[in-house]
Amino acid sequence: MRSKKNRGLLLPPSETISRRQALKMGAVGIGGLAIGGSVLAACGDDEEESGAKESIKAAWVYIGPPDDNGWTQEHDRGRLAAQAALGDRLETSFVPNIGFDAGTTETFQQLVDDGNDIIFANTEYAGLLTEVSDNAPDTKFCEINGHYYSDNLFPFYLAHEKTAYQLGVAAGHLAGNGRIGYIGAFPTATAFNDVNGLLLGARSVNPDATVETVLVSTFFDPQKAAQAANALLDAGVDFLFGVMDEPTFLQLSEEAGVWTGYWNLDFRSAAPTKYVSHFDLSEFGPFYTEQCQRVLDGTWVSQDEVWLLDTPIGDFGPNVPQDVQDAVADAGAALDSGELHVYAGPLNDNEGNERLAAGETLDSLQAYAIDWPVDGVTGISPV
Amino acid sequence: MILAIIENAFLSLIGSAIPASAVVMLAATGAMLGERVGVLNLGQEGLIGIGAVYSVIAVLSWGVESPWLAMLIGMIAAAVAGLIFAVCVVAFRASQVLVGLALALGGIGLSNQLGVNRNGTPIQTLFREVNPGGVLDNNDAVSAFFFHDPVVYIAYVGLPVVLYFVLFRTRHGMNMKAVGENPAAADAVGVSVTGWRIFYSVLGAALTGAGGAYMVLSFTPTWSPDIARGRGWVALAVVIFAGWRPGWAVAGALLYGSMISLDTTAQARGWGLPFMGASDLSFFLSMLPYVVTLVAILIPAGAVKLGRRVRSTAAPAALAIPYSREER
Repeated sequence: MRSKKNRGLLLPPSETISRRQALKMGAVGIGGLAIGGSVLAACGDDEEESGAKESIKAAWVYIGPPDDNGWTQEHDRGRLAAQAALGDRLETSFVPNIGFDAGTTETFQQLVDDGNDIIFANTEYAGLLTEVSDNAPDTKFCEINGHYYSDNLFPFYLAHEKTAYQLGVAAGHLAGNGRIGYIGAFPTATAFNDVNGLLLGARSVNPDATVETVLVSTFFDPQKAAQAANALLDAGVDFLFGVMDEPTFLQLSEEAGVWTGYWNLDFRSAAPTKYVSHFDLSEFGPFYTEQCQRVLDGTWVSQDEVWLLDTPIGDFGPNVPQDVQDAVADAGAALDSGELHVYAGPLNDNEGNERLAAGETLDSLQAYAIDWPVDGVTGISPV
Repeated sequence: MILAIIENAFLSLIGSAIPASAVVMLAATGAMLGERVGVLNLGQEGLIGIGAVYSVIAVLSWGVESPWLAMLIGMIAAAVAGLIFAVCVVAFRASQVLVGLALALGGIGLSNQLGVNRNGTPIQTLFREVNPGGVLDNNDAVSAFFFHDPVVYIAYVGLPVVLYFVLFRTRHGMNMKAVGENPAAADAVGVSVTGWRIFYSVLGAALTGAGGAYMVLSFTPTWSPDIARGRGWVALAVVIFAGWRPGWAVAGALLYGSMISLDTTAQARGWGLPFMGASDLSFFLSMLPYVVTLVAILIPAGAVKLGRRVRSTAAPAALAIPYSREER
């Protein structure tokens, strides 16, 4: 703990240390000792031996602001749900707008030093997080959409390829010309599961459906998202979806008279007449509550595969016809029962290579690692 | 066939470039106004943020229902920031570069702070596009240049024409140029250098603020942190590219806007190189505007070096130099 704290100190070359500097550093060292000592003392309590705790501290690290009307807001709603469920036994905090730079690692280190028992990250910080988690074995970490597993860190995510398929069924019915636009961030499994689900769902209705993709290399940049939305709308798509953390493109779709849906929450107010549905992320609350409860009980263990949350499709907008809603519900029921699979061979990628032979299927865990778009998707290539 | 493809590509690019760089056009005009009277305001980036965030506050918190009024509020807020800047650099003769940088960074910070709790909230009070109605058919060629909202026409046509007329056809414009080129001479004939410099700095700041307001009232109808994202700096580059001439600023802004739109338009239209799709070129394409900006600035600089037509493209001689009557 103490040596960890001192890692942050940039020591000047020893021959240049003045007496005053040496005194200052001594003071920091003693302060560090005192903090370290008190933590050690706490660890010696009887209750610690059974692993159970009276109360814990949990922290959330957010990529965006908690009022983005989207992704981060849903996580913060999950945090508040955990807070409400566990009451006085849980103390929560969050750090918003954490991007991808050296400051990110400092943020995680600070949260560890502040004595948080468990830390949640609402985007994949990868090495920026694991550099800290590997050196903080007493702190638990859950990283969304992550790909790193250790004794104190495991990834969680959403089984959203099924949700995308259901939205695709709606798009297949609603998009008159069969052209679906998609605003993505990066060519990762998230984007592949979105575009593949949309395309395969739409093709179950309209065999000529296509998905046209624009990648903008960011999840939160309304200007960039607006440009991408305008480019796709000008190109003539009849249904627009995206993985953006904020709802600008919904508003632009409404103005263009084009059907649209949203990833994060019910945001029909941005597109009152053209809103179709959304990915329902309300499972974050129960997940956060359960992880915090496990830390309280001393039963938290890391996982060796990604923890996938159910992601139902949300309520429909007012103008979605009932037969379309029924078709989506039927597809959802068939997917849940296992009678229908999102990925069922034969399937080719969009460069003509066979990826799934006839009779083969992919489950949600396998879909979590997918790195190719199915034939019919344009604007994004296999990795 | 090839011609049709090129024409189609040009139209879809220019059609999205025109609204995309209206903010650059407004900020460049604002910066040019100040620079013509010798005041270099590097704070454009901050002024865009201030203009944008106050328009957002006007709509979301004060219930303003007219986009024009919301824009006016954004302009006033930016003008107040411009006045503080002008008093520092003109009255107190502080370094224009340092105060300008402080305004850029401070303005971004202030606007981000004021924008807290307003991130991502859709703005419904918007400028509507002007529909020429039965006069014109809405085909690709027409919709690229028409069917924009009124601010676009003010930015690209109204302001440059007025500024050109004032600068080059009136005595008032002559005095402006004198303040920027040779303030001592202007002072000698009774033009208040301090007064003119403060007035045009404030007016310029208000125009830049209008650019920020336009972003949230039309182009991207929502607030997000760091909203200017480099557009203020590009506006300063456009002024240099344009050689401080209003008409050329239109060309500079459109060139920049086309480069900005190229990334998303190329992906949406499926353009790419034979061996690489547009999405794989995304990072290269999003870098292009800045490369083009650099090249565009080098062209006038090269012209100066070669001794060609130096007079028309050179910066105002007294740009960024504080004026003091006692020291002349």
